[in-house]
Amino acid sequence: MKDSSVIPAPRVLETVERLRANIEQTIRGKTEAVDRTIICLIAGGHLLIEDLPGLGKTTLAYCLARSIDCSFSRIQFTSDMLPSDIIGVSIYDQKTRDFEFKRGPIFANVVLADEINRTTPKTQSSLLEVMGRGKLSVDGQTYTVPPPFMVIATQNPVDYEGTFPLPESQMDRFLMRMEMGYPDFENELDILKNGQLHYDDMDSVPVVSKKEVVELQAYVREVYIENTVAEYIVRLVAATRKEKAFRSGVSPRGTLSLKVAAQAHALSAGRAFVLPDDVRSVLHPVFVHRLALRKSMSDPLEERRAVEGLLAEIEARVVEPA
Amino acid sequence: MSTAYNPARLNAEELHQVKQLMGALMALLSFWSLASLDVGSAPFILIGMVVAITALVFPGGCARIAPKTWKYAVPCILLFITVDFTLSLPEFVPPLVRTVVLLIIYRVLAPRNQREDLQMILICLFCLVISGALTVSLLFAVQILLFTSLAMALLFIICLLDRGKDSKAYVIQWADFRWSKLVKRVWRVIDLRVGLLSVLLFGLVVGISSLLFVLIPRFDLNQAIPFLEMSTQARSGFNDEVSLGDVSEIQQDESVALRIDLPSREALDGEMYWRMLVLDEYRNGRFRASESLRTRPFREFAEKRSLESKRRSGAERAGALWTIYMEGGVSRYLPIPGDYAAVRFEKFQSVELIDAVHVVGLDSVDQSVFSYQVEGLSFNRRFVASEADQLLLVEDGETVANDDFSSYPMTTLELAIEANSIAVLRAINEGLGMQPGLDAAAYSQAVTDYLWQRFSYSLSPNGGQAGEPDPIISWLKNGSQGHCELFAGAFVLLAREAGYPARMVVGFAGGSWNPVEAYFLVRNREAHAWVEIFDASQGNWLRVDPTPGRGSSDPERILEQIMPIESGWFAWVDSLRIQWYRRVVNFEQEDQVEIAIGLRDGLRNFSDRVKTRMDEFWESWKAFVVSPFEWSHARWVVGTLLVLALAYGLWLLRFSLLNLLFLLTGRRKALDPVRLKAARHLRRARLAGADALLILELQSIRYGPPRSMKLATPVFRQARQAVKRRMRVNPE
Repeated sequence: MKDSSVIPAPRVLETVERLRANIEQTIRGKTEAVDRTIICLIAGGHLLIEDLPGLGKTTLAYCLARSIDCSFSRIQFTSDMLPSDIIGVSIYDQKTRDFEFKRGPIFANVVLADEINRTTPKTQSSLLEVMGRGKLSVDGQTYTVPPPFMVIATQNPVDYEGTFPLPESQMDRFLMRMEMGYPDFENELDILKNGQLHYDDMDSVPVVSKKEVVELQAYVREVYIENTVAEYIVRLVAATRKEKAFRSGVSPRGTLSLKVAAQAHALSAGRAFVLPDDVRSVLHPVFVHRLALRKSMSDPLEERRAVEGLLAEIEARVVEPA
Repeated sequence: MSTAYNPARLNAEELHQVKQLMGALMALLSFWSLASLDVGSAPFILIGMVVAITALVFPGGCARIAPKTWKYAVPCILLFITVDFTLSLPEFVPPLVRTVVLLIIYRVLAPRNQREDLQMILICLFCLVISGALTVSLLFAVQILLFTSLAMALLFIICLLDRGKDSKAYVIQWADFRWSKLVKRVWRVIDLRVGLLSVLLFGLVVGISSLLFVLIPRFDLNQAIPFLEMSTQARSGFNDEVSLGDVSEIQQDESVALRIDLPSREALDGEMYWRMLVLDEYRNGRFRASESLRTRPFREFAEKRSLESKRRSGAERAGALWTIYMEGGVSRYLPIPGDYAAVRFEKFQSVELIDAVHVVGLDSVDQSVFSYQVEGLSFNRRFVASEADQLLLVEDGETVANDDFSSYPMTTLELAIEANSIAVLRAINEGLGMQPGLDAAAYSQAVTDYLWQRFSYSLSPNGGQAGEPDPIISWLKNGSQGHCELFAGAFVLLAREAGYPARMVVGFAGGSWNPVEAYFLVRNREAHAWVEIFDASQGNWLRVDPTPGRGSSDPERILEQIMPIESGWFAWVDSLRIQWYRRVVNFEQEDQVEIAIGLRDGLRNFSDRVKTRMDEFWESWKAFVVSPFEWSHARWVVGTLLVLALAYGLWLLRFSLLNLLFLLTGRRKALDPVRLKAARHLRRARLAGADALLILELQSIRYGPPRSMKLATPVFRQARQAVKRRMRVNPE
């Protein structure tokens, strides 16, 4: 049958559910955040989490890495960090009389870049370059980071004294941006009873193989996107460009991001085609960090809220396909 | 090719905008219809039109008026209406029109929701019906057709908007409104099939109405709606009594009084005196038809469809047909320029015949156009004396001893003026230095020459003096310029003094030719008064026109006259009117019956033919069934198979054909038929709350990889059944 795509939808759904259930064992009551993380993972994108410390950003990243049987590294960004602290450095080996490349923490499947705005633009850009291309070159040698590769960066939106905010062009590299938010009463109580303070103590077991993740990432590209839905995406993008309150609209990279995120969302729901609903549910995490107000506000959190409000208006205004 | 996705519907904002604009259009339409009414509220209607056009061009502007205004507007309008009605009673149509105009202006400007929209439609319909009933013109048909389509569309939109709960107090944002944008949107959104269907429906309605028009007997609108009859003012033109200056007053009026279909342009012999009424009596400074002429035996009353001339024999009767359309309110006397074989009306008509002076009148002034046909018409320069006029023949040459001037024809000799006024006349007659016994024509020429020398023509006469008892004598003594009535009046008095019976005749003189539809038209300003003098030598009445500027002073000589030609916009618009008159107003019962019979016969023929065909078909079918494999039936077999194959092929290709149609009409749909159908089912299934699996299946057809109709059909069937099942459980 022509219409049945290569995607084995039930198996995909089962895999995703398995992953989700495993992460949720540790990250309680944060279904949305977990979903978005998984979508980001299978879409092959990077995730930016903006929230206060102690809300479980690191735990989420670690959990994800452990659940998919992947290597995990954490980089705590500081203002005196150099690019080589991330990428690695070539060291002269006395025995071989040659330079040997010592791989940095970036060579892992899931990289947690903590407080990314604390470091200098130079170091930031070296990270972002790897994120963009999936490979890096040192001393004329090109190294490929092993797939799956996912950077989860965090930012503290309140304490921004002495930070280097990421420029918009860099923000564009993140597929999604999200917040964790506080857990509710029940979940917090649950965390109190069962939770560990340190992620190293957690006993997550891998439930999805690395191969399966790569497979999922390949399937995402195959998710069918119908013409009117594609047009819906383009109209949404066009509406952000027309909106006077924004300094600039969403870039074509943003358009592609929205598409791939929608595809991943569809796939995570076990569907081989994108619904307008898929587009809508990833619209905010994909677009909010790509938009800035013409009149910037002093409080970044407040600015985010304003952008979200405008985006919601656009969402209501743009007619979705029948 | 990237086609922008075409959202299938207008949103609420756009619908409201369309509704608002259509309301303004409708208002404009009704102002237009009121404008053709001519009841003297022109400034009001003009203001209304300006408002409606403004509301169309700058719709956002109206929305900016403070809502508080509307609260105060209503009592103001009510006050105005009350005052207006009180002041203008008993005339009630002009204030009614003003009221309607005010109400429409209010409705156009103030925000409207459903109830107000319906009011608007109702008021506009009222306008159209009123103006249509009063004017009876082709424009009315155009207006009512426009109105119907507008009203239908408006009602449709109201129904659409009714679905939303929050439609009650919707405030339209005119912020980024542009006409071009809205029109483009509407064009894109309109479904071709629906559009085609509505055009078809509209055509059907018009067709059925035309058929009914042909088949249903006419009725008299004035009788059906009696209050209309008393409403419009009659142009108090040619009544039984004419004060001096009345005719000149009509001369200010540019509107058309008569339209005439004649056998040929050459049939007009260049004089064009449209004789209407004879005024034989002069008393107290005014001419009138004497009491005797207004009663029996001179005036005969009859209810007739045609008047046969008593003066022509049967052989003479035949002749070319003239059709005269007299506008409403002109007069109750029919313009008939001379002898005729017969006058025919559309229906039985109460007529008054004053045969002695060749005048035909109706029982009342018709307020809408009145048409009649005259057979074998001739323009008379001389009218044969009637039986009553024999009295004058006997008296001729002698001093008139008969003092009974109260009865026709003696009224044509009466001089009911003071003795010194008669002396003035006598002095003038003597000054002409004529021998006694001169014939009427020669006398006429002498008097006309005298009048032309002394007086010039003007619509504002002079010579009227306060002390003078009689205006004509005063004019003769002191004046130097005057209008046609003064010339004619002076001539009549002079002639009577000299012993020639004379009478004044009023009607129209002149007219122009409309080449667009080849007819003749006469305007109210061509109203005229002239004289008929009794020529005893020949025993007839001779027409004399003593007013300067119309031919020779010799009544026997005819000067060539150039007929004015109508041209330009007016000629075209006016030709529409005569088309309407010819085809609709003058639609005769015989024609109607003829057409109806024709239709019936045509239909019968058609059904007969179909029946015989069916019989033949049945026979051959039977023969075929009895022996299907005979060679002579091969044609049948092949034909049937071909038809079946063709039908099957079309059925298979129906979606491709639909796509082709869209492609050809340049309206490529964003969705192919399968997806379109899936979208429809999806909407219904969601509304009915169908189970998730079915919805997912439908979604995959709608949004998933393309699927053939064949594969999709079972799902659709399932969806239909599911929805039906749901409806049964929960019917709402």
